[in-house]
Amino acid sequence: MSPWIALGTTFTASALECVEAATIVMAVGYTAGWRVALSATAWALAALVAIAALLGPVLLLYVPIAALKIVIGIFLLLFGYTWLRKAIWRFAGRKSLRDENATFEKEVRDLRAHHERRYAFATAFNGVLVEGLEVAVIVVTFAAERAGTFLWAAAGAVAAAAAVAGSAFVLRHPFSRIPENAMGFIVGVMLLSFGTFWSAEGLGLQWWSGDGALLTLVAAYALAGAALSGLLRKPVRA
Amino acid sequence: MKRFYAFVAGNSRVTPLGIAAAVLVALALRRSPEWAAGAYLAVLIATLAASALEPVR
Repeated sequence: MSPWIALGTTFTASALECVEAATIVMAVGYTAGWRVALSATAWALAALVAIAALLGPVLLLYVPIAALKIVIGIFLLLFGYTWLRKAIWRFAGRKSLRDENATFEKEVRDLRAHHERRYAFATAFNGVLVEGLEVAVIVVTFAAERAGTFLWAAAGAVAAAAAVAGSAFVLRHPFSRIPENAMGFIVGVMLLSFGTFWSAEGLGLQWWSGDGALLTLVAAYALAGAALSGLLRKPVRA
Repeated sequence: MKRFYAFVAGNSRVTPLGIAAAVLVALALRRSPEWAAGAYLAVLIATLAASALEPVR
């Protein structure tokens, strides 16, 4: 597998999760102050780095490679299904598109109702930790499949976080024009494709064209996702 | 436990069952390598379709 694919997948997944985390951090910053918002973010990022740094080597050193491929493949399948079906529902009009402005306003209302600094800290900390946890697990799974991929996968996640943080600093406003659903669709397709490929290899199955089968898997899931979005689309009333 | 399930499976009832079914199919067909990978993929794509038909959460 090209390390660029790992980098691209973690970059896109991380960018989406960071956009959601940035909305929460900005809400805390504007209502409770930037000091509490940024310190909570720093603690949550440190926790995420520690999780990824501990989990990756432990998996690589102590779990046999075939079992590891099955476990990480199944994790990627579960995450991929969640991402892709959410995107399918949104494309089909069955679930409303994520509205960062509405999320921001709701967080601000909640924070104003609680005047405690502790609550503001916990909101920002949980926001960053929960949104980042999935990315940390995805980075670890890429690393576990091939040791040399860890730096590429981690670089994708960190680059996306830096890009979103930089943009948030410049714009000082929730991101409302990012094609979140299309990005979620792509991440879902990539996670399902890698999950299928690795779990099958772990189970001892052989793909018909080696690593090239990944492209077939990407095409198959993308087509299935597009077809399901079309089939489930709610009819528009005249 | 509920939060962990929501985190890993997005509260879907179908996807863990579908993955389990795909693994069973793969194990059953392991001696026919020309069919096993295709059948495994087919069950996983069917799982995607079934999970998209679940009630929207």
